[in-house]
Amino acid sequence: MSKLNARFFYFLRVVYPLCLGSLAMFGEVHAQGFTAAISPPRFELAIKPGERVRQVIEITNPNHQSTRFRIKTADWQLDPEGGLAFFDELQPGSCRPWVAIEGRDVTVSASGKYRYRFEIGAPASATIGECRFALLIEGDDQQVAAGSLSFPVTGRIGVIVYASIGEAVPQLEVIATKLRTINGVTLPYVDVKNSGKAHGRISGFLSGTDASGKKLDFDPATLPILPGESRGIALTPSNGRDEPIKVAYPVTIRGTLEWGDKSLPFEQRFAP
Amino acid sequence: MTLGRVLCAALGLGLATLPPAWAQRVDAPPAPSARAAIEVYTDQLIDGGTLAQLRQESEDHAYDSSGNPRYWRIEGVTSNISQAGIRSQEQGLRFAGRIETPDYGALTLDGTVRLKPNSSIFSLSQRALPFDRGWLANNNLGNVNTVAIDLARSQYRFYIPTFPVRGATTEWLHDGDLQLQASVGEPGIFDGLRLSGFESLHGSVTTAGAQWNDGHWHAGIQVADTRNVNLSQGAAQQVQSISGRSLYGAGAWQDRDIRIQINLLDSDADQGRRGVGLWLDGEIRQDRYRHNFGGFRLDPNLFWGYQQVASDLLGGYYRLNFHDQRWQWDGGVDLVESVSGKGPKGIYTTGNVRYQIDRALAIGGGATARHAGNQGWSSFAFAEKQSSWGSSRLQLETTYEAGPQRSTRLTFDQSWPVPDGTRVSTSLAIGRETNNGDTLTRTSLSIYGGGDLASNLSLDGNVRISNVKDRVSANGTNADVSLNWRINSRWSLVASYYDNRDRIPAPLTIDPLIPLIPGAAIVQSRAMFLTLRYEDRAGTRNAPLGGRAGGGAGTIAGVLFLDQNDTGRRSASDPGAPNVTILLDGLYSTRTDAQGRFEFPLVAVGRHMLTVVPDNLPLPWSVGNDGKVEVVVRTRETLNVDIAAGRRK
Repeated sequence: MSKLNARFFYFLRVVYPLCLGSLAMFGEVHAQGFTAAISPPRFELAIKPGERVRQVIEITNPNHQSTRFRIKTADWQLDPEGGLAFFDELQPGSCRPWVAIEGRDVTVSASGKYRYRFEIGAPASATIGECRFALLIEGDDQQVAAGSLSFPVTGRIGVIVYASIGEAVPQLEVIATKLRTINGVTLPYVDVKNSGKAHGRISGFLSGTDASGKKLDFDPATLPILPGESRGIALTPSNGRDEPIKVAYPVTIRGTLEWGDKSLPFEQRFAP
Repeated sequence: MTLGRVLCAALGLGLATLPPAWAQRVDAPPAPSARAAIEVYTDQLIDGGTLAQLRQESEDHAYDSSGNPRYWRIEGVTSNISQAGIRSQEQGLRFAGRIETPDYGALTLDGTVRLKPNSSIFSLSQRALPFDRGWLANNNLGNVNTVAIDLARSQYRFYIPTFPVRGATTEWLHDGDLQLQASVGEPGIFDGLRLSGFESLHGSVTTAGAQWNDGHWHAGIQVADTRNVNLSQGAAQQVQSISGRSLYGAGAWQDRDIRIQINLLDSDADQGRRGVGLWLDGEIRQDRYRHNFGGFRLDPNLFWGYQQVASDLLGGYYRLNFHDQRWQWDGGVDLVESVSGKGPKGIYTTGNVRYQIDRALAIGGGATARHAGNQGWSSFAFAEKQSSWGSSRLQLETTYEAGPQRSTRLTFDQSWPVPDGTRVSTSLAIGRETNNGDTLTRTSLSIYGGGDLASNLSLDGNVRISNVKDRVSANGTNADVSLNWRINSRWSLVASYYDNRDRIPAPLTIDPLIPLIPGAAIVQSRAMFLTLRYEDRAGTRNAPLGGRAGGGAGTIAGVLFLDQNDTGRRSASDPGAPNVTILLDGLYSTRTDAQGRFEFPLVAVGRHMLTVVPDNLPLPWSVGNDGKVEVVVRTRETLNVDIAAGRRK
């Protein structure tokens, strides 16, 4: 068997199931010799200028051998589709210099659980705003060997931290509505602008009757809208049953959009 | 060398839209060469890196990964019980074990050796025993419940009971199209508080059943033969021997929106008690509406085996349900009369509504009325609010029963925001009751909750304090509290205290098919239980079942409760449902205890499905989603699952 064939068949037999396993396991990263569960998945904190707060993430190692994890902070961004991108280098306005972590690596014993600490210290001169960063927990590269071949396999978990400084709040407004087609599915979108100082999320009660006479509810996507940005929020149709729905346009959607303790009447016709 | 890394990353991105759980998953980090090009920021360390590490929790013994995955547990239980002033004790051993095999399915052994009072039970269960050509078998031996075909279980208005027996059951399943079953044994009653026993009713029960499924069509037949079963009858508890034969047949047609099922029950018991029952249930789903309707004619003295079932009824019913983002309402009407002319005749109406004003505030109410021989009605109105104080619910209930009896009660339920791993809810109720001119006032405060007091010590339970004021004032308490000390990974000690000196009765239920049960006299009781538990596991799975080979495990512990105010959450005053079978992933079974508690220790981490087998759940209670509850187990944590059984609508 050629080396390439051997690699391909090895991939099918070992690496592919490991990759699937790493993503199918609920909330776990799972590769050869590396499985971990991290809790909580997200922090939403409020701190005052000049205040230092300490928080804890819980790292669980369910393996029957001890595992070393590398831990570091990263800046992050959301792309227009809601995908996360992480940056090791400091981004403009990054608050990571306010952050201190317990250690750059930690070894968690077999079937063990470790409470890992980190701190955020907002300087007294910090203005009202939001400090956002991610804690990345990575497994050491594992060399998966099969005969003469060896593959590095690793995984990573990101815990997102939001810390509002000085009672920062979001200020959301709908600036545009349109239909968008993504992956062949056309959905109504509302473009929401956040002119506030903290991230916000849209919810609400929306309903409408489409051109075929179907009465539908529409659920806004729960993506965060970061301060200063505008984000397209998909309104996903539902009819109370677990089945895909094809909307016949035009459709007029009415109801209320809500965030925090605020609500906004909404009525808009969506047509191709 | 980077092929695996690149392909893993590509596949990871493809699945990145999965909902986030404990953490947000990301793709693999960039290759070393790319990483080197980035100006990496170096994180600051707390106290310059001098922070002392916290002590780690970890296993204190090596794991034996040889052989099939297996688990075993043994508990010693001692107790001191006082019921109506009579002191007694329950002492003995409880044991459980399970092993997963590739060739012989999953085997579970459960049992109790009770020394005081003397009684021993066991059940050996073998589930998912594979055979060629798509056959699977489930077998049970010992103190078990007889089996029932799926059509007998999927009932909307009536149900066919199963029997606790000391005997054996077998079930054979073929690719979802054929189900064959048989049971044989000596019937009895499960008793005991923490240590279950079995009181024999003597005689024998034999059942057999078969069901065929072919696309939209389903048909099934089930028979029960009962010989010389001794039952206590009447207030004097006279023992009467019953023999009888019953035949149940059903046919159903089902597609995406419509289901129609017709049922026939023919029973012939001693003393010429022969009867035939015929009923039809239908369901139609239209967008957000669900219609349920049916008709029934049930002769007097209708039996299934030795148990009398709903009898002497002729009538029909219609229910309509609707729900969207804001509205949820249902209404129904039942017309019922007696076949013999000796029973009540009347109309029963019911209606409930809930309106979600915004994400944080909901209001609603409901009413049920009976226009029959004796009139009765009940109504309630509520408001629910989510806030930074947690979830609050204020409810006003009124009931009226010709007699005359009247009651009014105001209840305030609050689930408090507490850190993960803990839960606290309280319930304050004030009520006034009038019965034949006598008026009394009841006040009660209930607290339900639990959580970790330390890394190896947890507290769980509920306490209710009440006061009843009529001519004199009397206080009552009801407490059920457990303290769990995890000594190490194999040993634990559980101390439980149960104390019932309360006079609060169960709420009045107005239902056309359930006879009014007079308020049972509350037996004052208290008990202290001490349980020392040893548990261990070993082995490696050949084929993962909800967990990775050799992976971590946690515990699922929970309560099946009767959701009296229909909130879906356990309020401090909701009672547990005893003796109901719960399945884990359809493979392992356990039964709820007298307080509705159940537990599956050492369950592999990850997603699992709990299924409540509704055979022993009293009408009108049922568990939504076909009794299925999905849970996620985390390593060495106890997942507390409260399963709500709601009233059928």
